[in-house]
Amino acid sequence: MVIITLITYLMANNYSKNAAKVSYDRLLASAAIQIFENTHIEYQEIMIDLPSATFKTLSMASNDRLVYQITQNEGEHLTGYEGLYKHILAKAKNNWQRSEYDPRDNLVMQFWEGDYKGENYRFILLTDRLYEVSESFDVHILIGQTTQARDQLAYEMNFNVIKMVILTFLVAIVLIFLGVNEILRPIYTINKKIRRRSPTDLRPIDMSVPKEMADLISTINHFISQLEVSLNHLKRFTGEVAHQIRTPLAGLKSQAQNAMEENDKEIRTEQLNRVLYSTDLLDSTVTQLLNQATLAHRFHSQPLVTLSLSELVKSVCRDVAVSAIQRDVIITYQGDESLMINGDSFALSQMLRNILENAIKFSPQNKEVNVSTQLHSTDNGYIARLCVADQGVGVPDSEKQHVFERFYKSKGDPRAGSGLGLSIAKEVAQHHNAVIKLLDNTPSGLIFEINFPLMLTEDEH
Amino acid sequence: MKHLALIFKALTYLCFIGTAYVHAKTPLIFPAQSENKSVLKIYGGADKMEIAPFLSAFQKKYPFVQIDYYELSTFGVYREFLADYKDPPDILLSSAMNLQVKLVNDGYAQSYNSEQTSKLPDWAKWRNEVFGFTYETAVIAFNKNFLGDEAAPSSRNELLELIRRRSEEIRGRIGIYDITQVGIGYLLWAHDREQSSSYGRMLESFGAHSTRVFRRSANILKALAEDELYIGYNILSSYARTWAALNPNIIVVQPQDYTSVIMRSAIIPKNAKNVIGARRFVDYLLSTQGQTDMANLTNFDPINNEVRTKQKHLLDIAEGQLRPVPLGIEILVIDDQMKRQIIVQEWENALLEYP
Repeated sequence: MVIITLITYLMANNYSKNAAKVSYDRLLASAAIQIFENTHIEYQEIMIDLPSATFKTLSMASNDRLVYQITQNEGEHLTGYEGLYKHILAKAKNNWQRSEYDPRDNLVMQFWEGDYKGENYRFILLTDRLYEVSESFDVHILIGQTTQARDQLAYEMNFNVIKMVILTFLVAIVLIFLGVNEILRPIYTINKKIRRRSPTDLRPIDMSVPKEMADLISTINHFISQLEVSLNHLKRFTGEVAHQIRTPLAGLKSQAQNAMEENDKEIRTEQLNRVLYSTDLLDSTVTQLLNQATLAHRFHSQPLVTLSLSELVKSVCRDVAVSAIQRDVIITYQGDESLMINGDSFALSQMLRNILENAIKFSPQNKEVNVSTQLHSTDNGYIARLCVADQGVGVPDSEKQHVFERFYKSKGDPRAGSGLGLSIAKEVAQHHNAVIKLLDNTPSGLIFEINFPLMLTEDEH
Repeated sequence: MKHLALIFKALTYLCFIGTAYVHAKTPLIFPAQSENKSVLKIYGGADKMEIAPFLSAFQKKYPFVQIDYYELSTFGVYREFLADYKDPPDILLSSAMNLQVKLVNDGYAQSYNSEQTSKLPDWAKWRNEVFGFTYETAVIAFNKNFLGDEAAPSSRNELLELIRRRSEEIRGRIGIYDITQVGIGYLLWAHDREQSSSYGRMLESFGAHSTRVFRRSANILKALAEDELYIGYNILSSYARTWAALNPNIIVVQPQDYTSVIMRSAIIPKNAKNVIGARRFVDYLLSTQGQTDMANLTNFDPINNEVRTKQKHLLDIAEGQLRPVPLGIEILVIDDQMKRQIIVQEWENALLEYP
């Protein structure tokens, strides 16, 4: 703003100087021309009857001094201030400035500005030729005038322009200030509204705002509604967790009391075994909860890396092999060794382990759990498909949608689990943009099918 | 050209004897009334006896000032100042407006701005360096015996008509200033040349009637009073009125086509020694007190309009007919050598055929 003002000022300054110069140069030029018009040859001599109009014109610059000399040929004095012509010619040298204002072709008008007798003068030198029958005369008309009036005019014009610039500047400042204030006011209001709210108040902000602010409001409202959803989730989850932990604890307590009062050693042993079993169950629930918390943290902090799906599957299968063998269940794996996916190996291992443990749990003795990995082509490109198929009783269609819910327990569950394993599996799959589906196996059983969007290794191109 | 050369020769001669005269010239001295005196040196074109009462009035106000008044011709004021530049006066008073303006234009004057000077209208000062302090018209004076019952002509046209009608009687009975000798005469004549369409006819008419030329207005007026002259043209009103007051035989007319106005003016030279005294004098000159004193004690017409209107004896003039000689660079044109040569030549060709 200041720079713009400065530039405007300089331009105005330049303009007014030029305008004043042009106007007063024209006065000088017309004076010189008038004098030349009144120059005649009489009896071989030049006679000049100076027109009083000329001096009247020049006296428009009312406080300016005036000097002039009219000479002929090589500078011989005709009239005016003697010696002026030669003095100024010597002083100005070649610094004369040709006029752009040449009303006639054969006449030369030049201007020079400089010091004369301690004052700044503007000079015009008009040179023209007078012809007579036998000879011709060069006439030089030199007029100089001090520059007070033109400086004054330039100053006045400049002053007026500066007044305008300053006024514009001030008005602009005020308008900008008001404008900024007006634009920011909704923000202050929003800020105040949010600050005054109680932390539990998650209603959307309701106020009318300019169009430009509507987006901000809707974003904030969207954020609030998400926050509310998460908060509700958390409330429900905390409730469930409390419930899930309290139930086994209550069981433990009553079993432990029963055992204390029981005299029959065998029955007491049986009761204490149940206490141990309940403790295991509680332990596994807490472990799964911790796993889930760990996974939630990893999802935020760990980037996905390229890994071999079959390597991962094999490693998990080896881990669960022992518990499978204990239950006389056989795990088979058949897969494409070269499949690479983007993923978090810890999370994926958790997912697969939970699914496998679930399959093993539901498998009858001497049956197989088949694990496979395959490359599939779909309309949206290639996918890596991981399948875990068991030959258990399967899940009726009505229950399938509930299987992944937290703390859901199947009616046909032979052993109580934490109810968290499959919900964790689903979270992991979602985090990998994978789709997890439940299918029926033939003749009976359940197939977990997980489809990963694929990042192809270079070999497959 | 022959005449020009003559004029230059005359001027050089005048300069020479003028310089000699400066040292010999004796001022009119008004001694200071107190011990600690300061001297105010004035060069003036006005008659000593005419201005003396006014200077006394100034001294009454400032008794510690000694005034040395040097009476010179109007051209003499200019010439002596430049000739004896190293011993300058503190004030130059002159009716030769062209010469005063020339001094200002050539940078010899110093600027002074005070309450009194700012009261002056713009046309009565230039650059705050030259200040008009009187306002005097150029009039036509007639001999009453000659006019008889006839009414005095009130314009130049009527004057020319009268001359034509009574041509024989008037021959050799018109008096004007010698413009080659009297600065104010040249100034008014050149001004007439710029102003009027009647100039050519006047020149012709004056030439045809053996007009006599004079170096002093007093001589013209004296001749008028004594029936030697019938018409005096372009006489300063201040002198004409004084004479008319004493001689009922003189009738003064301000021509109604236009009346030329000149101002006596004051300059403080750049190199003045007693600048404070000079400023004090200029302020007094322009103040209501000074202007009133001037009106009462001298025959100068004050420039201050309020003072003028109080003076019953001043002729009433309609504003429109006044053509003041400008106090500014316009006047330089009449000082141009060639211009002077042309004007003087015209004048001499017309008038001096009958010396």
